[in-house]
Amino acid sequence: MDDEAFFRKNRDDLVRYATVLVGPSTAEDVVSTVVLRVLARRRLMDLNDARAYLFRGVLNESRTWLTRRRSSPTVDDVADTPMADPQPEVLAAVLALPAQQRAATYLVYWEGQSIAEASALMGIRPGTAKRYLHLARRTLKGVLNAN
Amino acid sequence: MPTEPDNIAEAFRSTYRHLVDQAPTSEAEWPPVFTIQGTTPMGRPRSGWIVAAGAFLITGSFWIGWLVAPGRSTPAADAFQVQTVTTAVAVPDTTGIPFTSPADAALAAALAQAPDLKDAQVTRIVGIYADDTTVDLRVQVQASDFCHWYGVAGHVQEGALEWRGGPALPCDE
Repeated sequence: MDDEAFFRKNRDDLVRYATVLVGPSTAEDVVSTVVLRVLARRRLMDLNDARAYLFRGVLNESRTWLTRRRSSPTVDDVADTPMADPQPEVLAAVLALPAQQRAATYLVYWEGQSIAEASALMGIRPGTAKRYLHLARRTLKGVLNAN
Repeated sequence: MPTEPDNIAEAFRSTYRHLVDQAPTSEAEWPPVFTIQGTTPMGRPRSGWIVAAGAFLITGSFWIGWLVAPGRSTPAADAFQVQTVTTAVAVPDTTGIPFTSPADAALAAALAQAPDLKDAQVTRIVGIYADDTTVDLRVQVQASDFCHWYGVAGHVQEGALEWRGGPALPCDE
């Protein structure tokens, strides 16, 4: 597979991942920044695990972007369409999670990755991924119990 | 993946279902061409240093137009073959003020060119060229009665890309 085919195959996954991390209006910008940065140095296919590399790049770039903006996406950022579910309080709580916790929970609960797979995509140890999941679950549990 | 269904897991899933529904769905193009939605509106200058950058850019004397050098081909550069560029796109030298994104660099260049510009948005970014240390892009900035492409160059500085905006090319040229 060449770079173009690889990019076309994985691009939507990366944009969805970035959307969860920084919101829809910035997601493509984050992905484009990461891809351009990689291509400025090497071919995608020269990477040992290009998909994991790009996922890590999107997470890191998203964290940089969130730091510059000094806030997480808000409900308003992602409420362009009618919201049947989730509850606004739950959505706000998830959006307020630190990026690493959101990334871990997204990969596990939405993408259906195992802890090992999610930690590989994030570039962290499985134990760290478990801790992010634990912290995120604890936060969300508090919100759900309050409701 | 946790196998035992619970309300917390379901809350995460329903939240992500909602978020994923918001993800942009434009077609993937190669070389990378992205449409940026909702980028910085330019109803007012965002900070004093952007105004300074505008004044700096408006002189025009610091920008040296140079063509993308033919023959400077690397594997990465091959991914950025020039696309339908019928007029030379000039890129700036490295004396400009760096920005953290190509969109910001282009918007600042547009503000320098048209200080009264309102509600301008970056609508397209086209990859032009890349080598080991440089990425050159064309960035389209649009507003009502305004559409220009800007040459924007990214340079690797201490592992991060810094972006500088260059001269404009009207969209219809």
